[in-house]
Amino acid sequence: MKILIVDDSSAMRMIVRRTLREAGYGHLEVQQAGDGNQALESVHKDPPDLIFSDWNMPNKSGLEFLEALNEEGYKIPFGFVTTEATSEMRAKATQAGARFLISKPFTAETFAKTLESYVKK
Amino acid sequence: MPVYVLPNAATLTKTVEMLFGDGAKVAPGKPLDAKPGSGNLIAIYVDNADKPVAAVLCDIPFAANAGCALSMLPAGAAKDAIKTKKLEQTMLDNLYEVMNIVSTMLMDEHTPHLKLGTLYPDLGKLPADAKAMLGAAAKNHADFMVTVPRYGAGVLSLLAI
Repeated sequence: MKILIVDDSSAMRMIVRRTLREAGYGHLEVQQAGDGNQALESVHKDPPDLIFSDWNMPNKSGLEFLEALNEEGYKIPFGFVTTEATSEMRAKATQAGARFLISKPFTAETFAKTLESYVKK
Repeated sequence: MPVYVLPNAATLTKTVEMLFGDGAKVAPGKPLDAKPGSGNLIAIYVDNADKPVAAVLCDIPFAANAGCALSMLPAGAAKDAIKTKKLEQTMLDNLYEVMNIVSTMLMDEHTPHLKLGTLYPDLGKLPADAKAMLGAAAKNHADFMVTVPRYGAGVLSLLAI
């Protein structure tokens, strides 16, 4: 099973990977992208089974990336992992089809609880 | 009444554990000096109109330890940076990420939105509007000694209007 982590911060991508391991999902194959454009390219080449995306990114934001996936007909489970998690953003995310929104700071428990319905341990 | 919120030690602990893993510790600390020449670094946060509304100061030990820990640079690199008082660009880039995540602790559902504006490694380069904000926020601060596991401790001071 493959998960795509999209964040313009390489440090943050590393933290997400570490937290996935701590949550018991160290066996997942991880793909990474630094913005929505790179992420879309990655999906075209090798579609993942699950996407974790930051919201604010240069070139193409997380929301724009999700909207692009929708336009192209992809149905990959998609969630945001973001610093900003206002009710307005949650509404926009849900409207665009995001399955979940994890706000930072997160814990391994949050990841485990969120992922249990999408991934087998 | 303050516009923004400040974290307590428990809230900050959750964030530093997420950033640096288990073993991170947070204890009360002393306020940091925001004067040029103090050697401290400062992150300025802005509202939706790009007006400075909050700041987070840190000393060089925090900057070096956090800056190295985030991408697992050797602990020796942090020690060297503390000794020479010179931070490599990677450490500053990582510190920026830390400061970005800290922004979540300055807001709640009742506060206006803010975001990280600029990280100033040199307090002498702080613009006038940020200096004015520091004056306005002088009484609303929270100060912590943060221990980054496997690296070391440093001070973090948060201020907000």
